[in-house]
Amino acid sequence: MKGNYDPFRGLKKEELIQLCAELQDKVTKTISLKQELIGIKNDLDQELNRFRMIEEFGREGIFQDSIESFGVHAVESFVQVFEQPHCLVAEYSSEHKRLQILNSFGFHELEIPKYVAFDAQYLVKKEGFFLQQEVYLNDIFQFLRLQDAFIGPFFDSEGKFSGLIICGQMSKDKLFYSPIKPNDRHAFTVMSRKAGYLLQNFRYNQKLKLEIEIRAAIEKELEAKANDLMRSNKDLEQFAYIVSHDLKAPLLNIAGFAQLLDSKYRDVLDTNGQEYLNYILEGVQRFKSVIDALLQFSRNVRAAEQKENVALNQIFENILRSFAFTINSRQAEIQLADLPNIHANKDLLQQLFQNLISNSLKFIPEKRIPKIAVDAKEREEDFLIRVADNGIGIEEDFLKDIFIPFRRLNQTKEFEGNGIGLSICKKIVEQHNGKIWADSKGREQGTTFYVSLPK
Amino acid sequence: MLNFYSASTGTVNSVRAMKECIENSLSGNDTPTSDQVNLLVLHSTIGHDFKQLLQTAKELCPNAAIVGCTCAGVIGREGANESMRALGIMLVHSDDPSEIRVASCENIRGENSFEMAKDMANQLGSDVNMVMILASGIDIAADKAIEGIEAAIEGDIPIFGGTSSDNMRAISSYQFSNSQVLERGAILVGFADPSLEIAMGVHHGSVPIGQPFQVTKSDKNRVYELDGKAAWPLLMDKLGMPQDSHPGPCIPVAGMGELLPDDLHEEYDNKHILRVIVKVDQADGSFYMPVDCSEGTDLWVTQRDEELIFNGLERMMGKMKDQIGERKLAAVFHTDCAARGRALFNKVLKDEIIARMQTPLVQSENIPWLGMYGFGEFTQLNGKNYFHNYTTSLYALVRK
Repeated sequence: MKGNYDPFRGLKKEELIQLCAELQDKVTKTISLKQELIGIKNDLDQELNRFRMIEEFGREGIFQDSIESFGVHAVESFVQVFEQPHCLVAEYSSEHKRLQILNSFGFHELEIPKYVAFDAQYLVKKEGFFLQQEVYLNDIFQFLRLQDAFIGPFFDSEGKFSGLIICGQMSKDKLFYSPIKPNDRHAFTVMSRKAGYLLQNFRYNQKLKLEIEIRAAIEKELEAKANDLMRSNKDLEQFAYIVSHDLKAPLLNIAGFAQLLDSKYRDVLDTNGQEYLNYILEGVQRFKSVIDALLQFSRNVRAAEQKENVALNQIFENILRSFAFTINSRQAEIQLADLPNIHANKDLLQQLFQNLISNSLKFIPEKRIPKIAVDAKEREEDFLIRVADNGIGIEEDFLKDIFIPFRRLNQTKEFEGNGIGLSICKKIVEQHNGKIWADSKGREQGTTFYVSLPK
Repeated sequence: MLNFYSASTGTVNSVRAMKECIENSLSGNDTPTSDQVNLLVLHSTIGHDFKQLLQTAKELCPNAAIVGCTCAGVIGREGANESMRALGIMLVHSDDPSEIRVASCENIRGENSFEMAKDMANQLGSDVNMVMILASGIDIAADKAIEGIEAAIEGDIPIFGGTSSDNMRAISSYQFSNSQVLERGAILVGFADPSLEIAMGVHHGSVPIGQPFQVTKSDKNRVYELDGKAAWPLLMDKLGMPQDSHPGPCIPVAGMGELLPDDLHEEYDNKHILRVIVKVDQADGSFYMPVDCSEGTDLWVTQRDEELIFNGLERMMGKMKDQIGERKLAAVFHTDCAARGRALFNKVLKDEIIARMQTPLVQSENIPWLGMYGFGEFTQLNGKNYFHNYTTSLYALVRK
């Protein structure tokens, strides 16, 4: 029954036509309703697209490499996202209480000043707002002749006002441009904040870049100085070599004749003459020792490149053998721990530790039994070798000076020397990219030398 | 032989946008230098600074004739862009500059469309083998313009192109002729390259609703009354819209369907051709059609059918592929109704529609493509020139 139900049965033709017309009217009216719904749907789609563009604005903003390009990027992006014909971006200086216009778009007919006096204390809103709602700002930006415009303030990460962006239209633009809507406030605020962070980021990077540039300049200068120093050291080494080499021949001549004078004519000299001859012989001997040291100092430079695996215990045993007479006569106690093998120049290491042991033996007073301990510790990147004695020690203030050539801290006759032994040690260690330093608790407290040599 | 190069951009700075487009158009291999370009066709949305666009175009392409018009959106190889500042260009170069003819006029209106078009067509010369027209979308009587061109150029001259638009407000639209920005102008470009032919496709996806209105009083393209009542208020009333509505916002819903001759139904994939109303006289309730509308004509309210839009597009592309066959494409011009842009489709759907047009034609090749969302489309049906509204119209220039 239900399937055969005909609601139009019995209606006259005119009534049916009328019914059809009413039905058509209703259908026709739904067209505009449907269009309205499409419009709403597409508005939502566009809103979504707008946020995508805002994201893109943030991403591209990071790559702007000058404040000018940041300004262009900001105004053009706001113009695009909010479909407005005019835009201006400005940075705030709290020091000068003014806004600096970074860039503007679409104000061809107007003269845009570079700076605008501005007091941030009048800016109370954190969100985007209509320019016309704020009397103070409206007055300041009167010259832009904008009728409908939004302002988005910028804040840095500490919440301090750092600038603003204005985007909108003049009355003449209304022909084609839709005015910026209250609904745009959220998107405008989001984009303004992004712009603010980009500006802060840019300024921070700019500062960092400047610091890097300054640091690079300093490093360059230091490098130049280091090169100068290296050159001058080389010159000095060369000079020392030439001088010592060239002086040695005449010195040997003097020594030879002085010894002849001593062996053949000492008896014919009176007491004063013999004393003068002694001075000559002693002086020549001291001079020869200095020249030998100088020669050794300059020769070490050339030897450092030939490296091999060196057993330190073997080195120390050799050294102790060479000092056997002194060690025995002074009943010295030498403690030698297990020492590592080191990749180094064998001759130079021998020289280094020989100087240190010699130094220790020398600076232990005659009446004291010398006690010398040698040990080593393996560390992550190097070996630390320790040579400790119970000698006269070094006052803390002089510790740093002991490696300077010809610097003798103790001038007494008991501790004679040419003052170059430790500077040779330092040089050898540095040629092996290591370090040497001394430690002492003070006078009569003994000295410990530390040598670090890379693995 | 004419060679074509195209690009489009959403860059908002007008100077940079034009530079970018010209540079990108000519960035391929074997392209001419910009000063060798003979013709620059541009479509711009309404927000650009037109003077800057034209000045930059002239600076970079000093030897080119510059023509173009405003639109609601541009369509390029890069896709569609309906923002306030979108730009698309097509550059044309020929070793024989006489293969490109350009004529323009100012103040074209319904009543003088025939004469103005005929005069311009005469300037092109009778040896052109196709004519592109870009004309004001608000004032022109398009059917008369077609007749004018046909009167001047003998034979079945294919006419293609579109009418300018603004951003769907139907307030003002602009045309460009070298350094001039015209508000009621028209431009004809004649191509006289014997190696080129044109294949066209046109489709709309609207269907009529119920019984038609009958035009009871009209004069040429001005319709005063429908069913004995003031035309515009009656139409608005039927659509449930305020009677004094401006035609701009009504464009997506107030399209009028007119019955086509029977022999065109299959070719058109529809029995009705659509007419847009972009000008209304609120004082007497009359509206202007883009073509003559004699008394007694039936006009239907229509609504869009999404399924028909998509399926019809497939059929149209199939027919175009058949027309083109194995011939090589030189370029594609494209006019689409402004109401088929963002007023109807969201971005995803719009991109899908454009992809369904571009992919079958260009495939993986870098074929120059310049399109616009305008107020009307000039496209042939069964080899006869017609003016359409609410359609997608494609014009593929192919090598013989």
